[in-house]
Amino acid sequence: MSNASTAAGRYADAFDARAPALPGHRLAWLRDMRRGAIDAFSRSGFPTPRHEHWKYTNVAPIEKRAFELEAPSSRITPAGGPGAHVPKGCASPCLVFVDGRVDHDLSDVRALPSGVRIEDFTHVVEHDSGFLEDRLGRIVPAERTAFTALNAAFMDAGAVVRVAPNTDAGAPVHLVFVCGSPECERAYHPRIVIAAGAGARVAVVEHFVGYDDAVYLDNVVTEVEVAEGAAVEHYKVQRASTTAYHVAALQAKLAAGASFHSWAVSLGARLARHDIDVTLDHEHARCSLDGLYVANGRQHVDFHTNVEHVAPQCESREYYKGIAGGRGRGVFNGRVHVHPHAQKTEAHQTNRNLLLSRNAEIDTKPQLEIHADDVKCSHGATIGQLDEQMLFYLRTRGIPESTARGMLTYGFARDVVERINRPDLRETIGTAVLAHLPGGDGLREILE
Amino acid sequence: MDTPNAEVDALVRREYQHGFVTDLESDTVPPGLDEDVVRLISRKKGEPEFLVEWRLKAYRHWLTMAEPRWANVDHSPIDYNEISYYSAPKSKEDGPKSLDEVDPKLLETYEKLGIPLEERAALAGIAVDAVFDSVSVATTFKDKLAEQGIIFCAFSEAVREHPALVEQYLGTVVPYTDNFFAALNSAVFSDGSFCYIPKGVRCPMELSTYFRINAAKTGQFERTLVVADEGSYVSYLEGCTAPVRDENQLHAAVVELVALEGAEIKYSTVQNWYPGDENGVGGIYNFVTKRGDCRGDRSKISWTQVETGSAITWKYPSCILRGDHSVGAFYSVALSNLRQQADTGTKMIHLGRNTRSTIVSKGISAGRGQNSYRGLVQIGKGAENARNYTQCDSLLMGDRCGAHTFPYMEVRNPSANVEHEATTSKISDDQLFYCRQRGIGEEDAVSMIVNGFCKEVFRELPMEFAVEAQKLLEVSLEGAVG
Repeated sequence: MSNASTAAGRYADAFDARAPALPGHRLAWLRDMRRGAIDAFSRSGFPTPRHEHWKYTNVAPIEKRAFELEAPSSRITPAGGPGAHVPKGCASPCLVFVDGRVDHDLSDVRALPSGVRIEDFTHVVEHDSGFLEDRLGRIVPAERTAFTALNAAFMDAGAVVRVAPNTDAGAPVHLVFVCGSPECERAYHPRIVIAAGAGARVAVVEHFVGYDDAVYLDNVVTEVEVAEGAAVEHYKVQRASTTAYHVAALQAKLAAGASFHSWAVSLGARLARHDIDVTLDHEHARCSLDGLYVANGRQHVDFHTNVEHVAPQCESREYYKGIAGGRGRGVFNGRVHVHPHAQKTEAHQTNRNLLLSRNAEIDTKPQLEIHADDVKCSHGATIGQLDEQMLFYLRTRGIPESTARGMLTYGFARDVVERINRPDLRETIGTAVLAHLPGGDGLREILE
Repeated sequence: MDTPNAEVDALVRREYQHGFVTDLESDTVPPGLDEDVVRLISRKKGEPEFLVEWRLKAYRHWLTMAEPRWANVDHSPIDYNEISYYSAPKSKEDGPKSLDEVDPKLLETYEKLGIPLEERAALAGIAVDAVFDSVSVATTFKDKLAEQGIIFCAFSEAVREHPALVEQYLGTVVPYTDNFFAALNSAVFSDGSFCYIPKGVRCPMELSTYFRINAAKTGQFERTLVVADEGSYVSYLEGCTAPVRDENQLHAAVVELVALEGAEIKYSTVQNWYPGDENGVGGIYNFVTKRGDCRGDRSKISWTQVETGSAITWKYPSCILRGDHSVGAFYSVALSNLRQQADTGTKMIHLGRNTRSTIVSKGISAGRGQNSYRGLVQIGKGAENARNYTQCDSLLMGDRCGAHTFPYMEVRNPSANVEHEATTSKISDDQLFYCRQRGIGEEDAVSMIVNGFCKEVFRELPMEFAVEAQKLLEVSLEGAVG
């Protein structure tokens, strides 16, 4: 316990020092929110594996490191500049953050359809705080976890995406976070707010990329509000540097008849933890959650999804796949909670895992909690390896074993990529996935 | 959904059939627990030194532990100092030698329970070692078993007659440090059954014990130990019913199974303790630790259980698949009606090469019952080619019950194959309509569908248990669907 209290104390001290410089310090409500959050964090400290939600993911390495909470005064950018790190295919509209600050040169949010606003979080705090006052912390309460509390206390960057009722935002909105200052070990606390008005349609892509060998912490919170009949697609491509830590919480709240599609891939980071929560508290809301996680080398990836079926007649589908090789470890926890009275619920979940090496590990826990009787719920989980017969088939066709393994692994991952609704995104994200797969390098030549 | 008719209603509200209390003088120690009580229990049973020491170690360890809170159950706190830890039916000092010497009142109780000891034993070919509260009062067919070298007796007798065997195996599967309730049991266990099957012997009959909880406020802490030596086979049955009691009664048993090379143990349970009334008053707290150790190569342990009783059931019969090519199986039907809460499942720990396990769990929730499946499948680093298949299905009847699944899968070997699937649904109107239009009454139709749902598990039960289990389900579910 003493460790937790010292780490908590360190963050509390840092907060006292940093608070006056944080965005919106003049706003009483925001000051109170931040203060409440840091107090909640001081009380809870970082979670330990004794917490059921953190059973398989030990955040002690994050706790031990003394991350800087302030942007460094001077900026030294590595060769090629941050622009080189912006993923290919991030066309307009796109908002690029370099080292925790919006980079106007790399961003392009000029030609937007009317009714669509994509703004820097700090800008909205200064000029339109009323909008945030009604929303911040309403979907992801600050005290949810130690990490959401830290984010609420320190949030100083991020994006606000607003789409007016009955507006189609058109092309996907790209939010790119290039992180990792080479000078110091920093913690970033971006906050993303997505609000789709009634009947609106929008797709948002979050990219997280990092400089090689940089050690830093991304601690992201995304709040998504989907109004009546609106449809939001959320894509997340996590390619943080393999020495970094990535913790993210996403929660969507759906109104009647709304739909939400989350698609996430976790490729980078030494330790990555993703919490995805969807609350279906009005009738006829639908959500689908798709994801892919790859743990290679010494990587540790953890996905916790949670769907709350509060209202009747809602539908949720979930499809997650995981690949663990090297000394990697993949963790999946998918919870579906059907509340009393949520009759006619349909909830299906699938989790498949590929365990490729002797020192890798997969821990999965699909979880159903059902309090209504007229429901159709199912889940399935498997852990296995590449099919020896398929391998043999490829080998008989003269394909070297390593390539054959790469092909089958890619085939395993590919059907998650196929679930991306937008063809252009499918292309670019598919390429990124291939680059991170075990044996993917050899395959690229064949496929291109 | 229609409301159940009055007749059905009456059936549901019917008093617990087996609810009665035999008026016996009990030799009960005052409530409360300290080292003296532990010593007293041990002295009363005339136990050797090693067991007294073991009990005391367990008691001291228990003091350092906290009651677990993680289970998906809800109950008022248990005051462990309110419980009396020993209760033996008063009898002649040396105890009864044969059925004639057994207290007629005890025999009467068995009659009411439908266990005509002598007849049933003879007819069904079952040796019954009946546990009435804490002391075994009758053992049958012992001689017949003894011919083959099989030891099947009350635990306290085994301690006296075969201390070496008990010392060798006691606590090797469930150590006293294992969990809160196992530690408590180790300290104060009253009696139970002991069974040893020698090398290469196939036990000629199904071994059976009946547990009863009788004297008010006496928690029962049975301890069962089954050891199957190399190449042997045994099928063991355990069944229970209990009288109506208003206060919750704690039941914390420990069952240890050891299967050596090539041995097979089949352990079947039908549990029908008093579930409490529709307001959740009364009923048994059933916090049990059951674990089997496939210690030798090619050994096999299977657990089959039908759980219809108890206010709270909290048990996870597990298999440690230590030997190469060993096999573990778990077949379960758990029913929770009224305000019953069941948090049950299994653990399959794969350590040896080519180990296989199968889990089939069927949960039925009705009324305001809460049913959770909690299971762990763990594949160790050295468990080459391990296989697991898990299926857990839930059937919901009524809109105020709940069905939950918490399966944990931890795999550390790339040659492992682990599959889990779970479904939750209700009895469909189509199925009911189909039966109804063929002239089958609604009650019968429901019971038929439920039986079909549980078929895979019932199939694993020994014949006489399968019949009893179907009856139990029918009785427990009457009127649950309207």
